[in-house]
Amino acid sequence: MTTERIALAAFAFVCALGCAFHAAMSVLFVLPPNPVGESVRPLVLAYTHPLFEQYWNVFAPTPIEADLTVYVRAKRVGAPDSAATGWVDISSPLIAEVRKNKLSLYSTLKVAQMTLAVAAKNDKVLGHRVLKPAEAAAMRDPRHRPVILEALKRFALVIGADALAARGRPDEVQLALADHRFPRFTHRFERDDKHKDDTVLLYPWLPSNEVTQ
Amino acid sequence: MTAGTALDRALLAFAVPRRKIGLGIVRTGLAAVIAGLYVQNIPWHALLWGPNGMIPMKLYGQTMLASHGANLYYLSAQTWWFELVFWTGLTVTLAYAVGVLPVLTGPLCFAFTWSLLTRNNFVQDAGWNLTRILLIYLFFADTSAFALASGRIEALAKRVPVLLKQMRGVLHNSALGLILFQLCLLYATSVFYKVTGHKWQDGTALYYVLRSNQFDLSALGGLIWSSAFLVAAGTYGTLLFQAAYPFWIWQKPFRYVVAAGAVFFHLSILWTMALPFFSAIMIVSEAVLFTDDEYRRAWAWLRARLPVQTALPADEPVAATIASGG
Repeated sequence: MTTERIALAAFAFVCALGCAFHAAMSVLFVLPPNPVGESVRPLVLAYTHPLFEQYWNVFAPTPIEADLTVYVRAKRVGAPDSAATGWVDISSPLIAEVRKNKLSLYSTLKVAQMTLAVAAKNDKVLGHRVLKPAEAAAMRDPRHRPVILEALKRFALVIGADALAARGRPDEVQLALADHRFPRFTHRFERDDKHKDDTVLLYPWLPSNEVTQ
Repeated sequence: MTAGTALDRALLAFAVPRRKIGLGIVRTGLAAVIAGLYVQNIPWHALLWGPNGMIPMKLYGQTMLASHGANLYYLSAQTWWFELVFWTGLTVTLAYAVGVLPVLTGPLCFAFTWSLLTRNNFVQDAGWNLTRILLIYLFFADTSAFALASGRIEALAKRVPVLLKQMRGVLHNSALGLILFQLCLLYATSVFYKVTGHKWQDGTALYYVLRSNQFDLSALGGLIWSSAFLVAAGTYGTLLFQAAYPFWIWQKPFRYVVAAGAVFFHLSILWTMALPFFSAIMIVSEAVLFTDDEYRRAWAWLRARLPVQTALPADEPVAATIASGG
């Protein structure tokens, strides 16, 4: 065997070894906790994070089971809730646009709206329950505000800008996430009473911001 | 034939770059989809990625940067810097799409795309996760099929010693193998998690997906979810397709079935759930399933029926040199 052929064989061996290691790390990363994976978890995370992180459990194990709609309203600082604008639905207009045209310019905004709504619903603090007064008060401080809530607020301020400015420039905004459980499969032909089983998660009043579009 | 000769032949076969046309299509296609993301969101790019947009730069630095390692947008909170990175990113991506020095524009395109996608996690879907990973593998592959000035690059390549060409071929084939592995891992993981869910097991999962206001985006969705047969067929069909994918892409007749299934599956997602980028990324990635010979035969078949004179990139003479061992 020539020197060149030995060099090529060595190179191919290193490449094959590298590919095998990479494949093993990727498999261990995507698998749920298991006896083999747990023992090497620190190595797997150190290798895959952040470049090769991957999540393929789309709609799994349980697909989305609800309609999620984000609402926002605004008021002047110190004004009572009754002086606030009406609730502005920021989800439906984006969904309607994309429904009209699958290649709509708004499709990424619609994805952002959906991801924020799902993330808020699944968040341990923001979702599933009514916030305690102390938690709500703490969130007025930007240092204690979950990034999802801040991003959702800023997104809503731009998407609902016209309606929110109906009573002048808003000082404070409030978000709400309506979680509507539509009929289960076996009841699919029953009338869907849109608001009967809604869970509405109401977030605290937050200071408004100038957001660049 | 001795074991040594057989090993030698296997080694030389491994050094011949395979599926260059498919990888060229993946490079062009992915870059075009990324460029589409830039262009689509020009009217509100500052909202999605700007320093005073959805995730202000300070909040991003405090909460999200650590999980992404690095980000070009984070180098400055100035608006001019944001605009510079955004527009340079679009330019680099377009250059990569048309194949201007893919060896250079590939890593640059990855850096800008990574920065764009991780600057705002909320705009991402699974398609972008795949894109980020495939762009890394493409660094190591020869994606010069359909590249601008590829003739000049080939002329330069002729001066490179045979050993280096062979090593480049090994690297290329390793990247190709990892891309195929990645696609298999994606579908295998997806079906692995799905089958553990009751709604996938009882054949009703598709109903819940298509009934939600977030995904019920076509009149067809209502028709499907109201039919027990279509819901069950769609649910189990999805599981079957995803489970078959890692096994069927290796054998020729099944590979065509899987590729057709993937295109149908993702066009259905585009039509019913309106996820254009996700669907496009998944379909483009399938281009790597076919050999150069298959592309040439398909092109010859098409050309015989169309008044088009363009040719696909021919087999390089260098491939024969590599295969013969120099």
